[in-house]
Amino acid sequence: MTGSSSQFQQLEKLGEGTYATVYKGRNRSTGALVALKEINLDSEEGTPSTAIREISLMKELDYENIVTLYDVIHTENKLTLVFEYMDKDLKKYMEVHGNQGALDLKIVKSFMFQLLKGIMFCHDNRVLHRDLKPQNLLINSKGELKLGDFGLARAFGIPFNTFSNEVVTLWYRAPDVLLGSRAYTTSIDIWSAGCIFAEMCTGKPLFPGTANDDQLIKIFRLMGTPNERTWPGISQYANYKSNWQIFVPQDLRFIVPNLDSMGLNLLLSLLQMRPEARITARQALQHPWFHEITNPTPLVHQLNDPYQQNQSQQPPQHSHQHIIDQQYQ
Amino acid sequence: MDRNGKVKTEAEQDPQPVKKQQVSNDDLYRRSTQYEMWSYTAESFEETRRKANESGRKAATEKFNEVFESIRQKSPEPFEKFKEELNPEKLLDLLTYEEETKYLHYYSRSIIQTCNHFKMPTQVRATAVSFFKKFYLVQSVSEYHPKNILYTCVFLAAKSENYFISIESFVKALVKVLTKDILDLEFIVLQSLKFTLMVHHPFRPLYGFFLDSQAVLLHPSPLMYDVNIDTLGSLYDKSKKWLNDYALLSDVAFLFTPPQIALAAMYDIDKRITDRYLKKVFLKEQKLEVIDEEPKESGFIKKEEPEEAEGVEPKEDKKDPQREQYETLVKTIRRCIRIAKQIPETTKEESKNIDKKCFFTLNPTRLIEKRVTKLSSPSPEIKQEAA
Repeated sequence: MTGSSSQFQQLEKLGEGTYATVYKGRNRSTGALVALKEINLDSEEGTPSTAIREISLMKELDYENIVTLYDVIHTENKLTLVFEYMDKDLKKYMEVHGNQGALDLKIVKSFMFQLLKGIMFCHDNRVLHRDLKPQNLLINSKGELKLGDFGLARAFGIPFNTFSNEVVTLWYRAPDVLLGSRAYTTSIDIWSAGCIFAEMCTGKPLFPGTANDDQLIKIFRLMGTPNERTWPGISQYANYKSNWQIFVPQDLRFIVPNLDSMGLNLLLSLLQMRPEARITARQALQHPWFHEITNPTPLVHQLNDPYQQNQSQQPPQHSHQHIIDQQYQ
Repeated sequence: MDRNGKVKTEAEQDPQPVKKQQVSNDDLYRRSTQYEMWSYTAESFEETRRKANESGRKAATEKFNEVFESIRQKSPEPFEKFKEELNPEKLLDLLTYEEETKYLHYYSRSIIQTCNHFKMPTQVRATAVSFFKKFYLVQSVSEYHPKNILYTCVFLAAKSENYFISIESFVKALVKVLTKDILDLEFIVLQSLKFTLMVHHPFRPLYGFFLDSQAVLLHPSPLMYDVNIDTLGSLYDKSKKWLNDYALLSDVAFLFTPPQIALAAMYDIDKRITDRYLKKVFLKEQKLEVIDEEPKESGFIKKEEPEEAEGVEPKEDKKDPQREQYETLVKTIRRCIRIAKQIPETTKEESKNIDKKCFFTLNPTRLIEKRVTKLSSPSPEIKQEAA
């Protein structure tokens, strides 16, 4: 095979990203494996703006749960982003290691913890991923999970309400986005995390909708059909319908039977219909379900009373961030 | 950076971040590539620029010598005949550091004009100027003519800031620029920027201070008899203009943090109100209700230490750390204002002269041939070639 540039030997194809093809590569001098994301340069517009934004964000997001961008290489009509190599994506991992896709709860816990840390880092850096799904979560042989594919990600510092609502892959898309909300925030990534959580436990996608309306109905069937009482302001959404079939909320215990009650509590906090009600990544990381990770020694366990922690961890969420973010146009 | 952080130690820290619920904008700035890779002291900044100019001159000299040799080998007669005049030393007239600085300032202005022409938002304009300035911290006009670099920076900034403009409509509105000119330079610019495209501008912090100053100066009751929401609104608007007029064109973005620059704008527009605000925040005259955003944070304290005192406030209780912090800040702000206003002015004639020099530096063939033609004007053979 011919290499994408003399520095790297191009090996097999790993997958298709949102706007590029990803190959496995080997550094000719060090032998180290890398992932080569090849972007065709548009003779019309040059480097695609998705690539520009991905590069821009990846350069700022230096974190253990976010895939590292090593370099950018330019060849004639291609731009190649050189990323750290990860063995598989979560989808593949579940296929290979899962019991009909379902992962061991210990692994689910470890992956969820790492996923939420990656999300928290993004959100702390005012970045929305917007396209979280098992295919975009990468796992290496050490069992580390990292967020990848920031092709659709956005810095959300400034204009807030101008995002198109055609982003997140349907199955992991939050109900507020499906309802036509354009002013969405960090909570959309949290919804996706909830969907991924359930999928890791059961091996099956939680809401495998086929179209926007079908996706909503699949969500309602499980979470209950929202109304003005359960979700004040819902009738203002563009895609609101007054004649939705009425479903009552199901008990998640029957949907994700292998998950313990503490885990179900976390899952429910992530899968809140109202975006404001969804837990933040930072709060989720302090959820008692993660205590065996956050407090590995019994002594610390006793000292950190989870109940007390829960009480003190409710921050005034909106605060000034909100005001600052409205910013100049 | 914290890549070696072991899971265990990380996790042990995690249960207690209750106090630190949000990462402040200041923390965010400290971990940005802008802070890590593009922040300088005044000295290191000048040194970097001089280096860029120097290596540009070196490259231009090499290129010149090459061209000179090849022309001489092709037609050695004039070089024999006018040995005195036609020697590299005499012909070569490269841009000095000062000239290059002036030249770049001139082009920074045209970025703003270009962006205004396309009615691009402030963010794109500011990012384009930042790209342009960063490019010439690494490269030199002796290698890359600023005109097309400027357009490439604007085009890239628009993409980066998510303000779509098609290359076709962009190029159409420009004079004597081809699509290829810009697309060919795109990667070179990206590479020179080390692929760091996220730029933090002072406009956001300025807005933060605008909100905070309302909380501090107007609530619960107005602190200054003649300051109300309209006064602060006007201060905000004028400060924004100040940022566009001074901060954008000068080099302060490389020397100060965005909040410092924002405060410099306010301080220069209205020293009395801004100083009162800062005193209230820092010296805590009485219990305050302060918006917990940029202010109060170490964003006030800049990377480099201030050099000289500039007749700041009386220093009665020098030991008071809060007063010291306040004084350091005011010194920093004043220095920022001073540097922001040091934008070199160039006369039209001077610009023309620099422009000419730059042209010939980048096109040594034209320079040599022109000279040869002039010296041996009766010779029709060379004249033809020069045309």
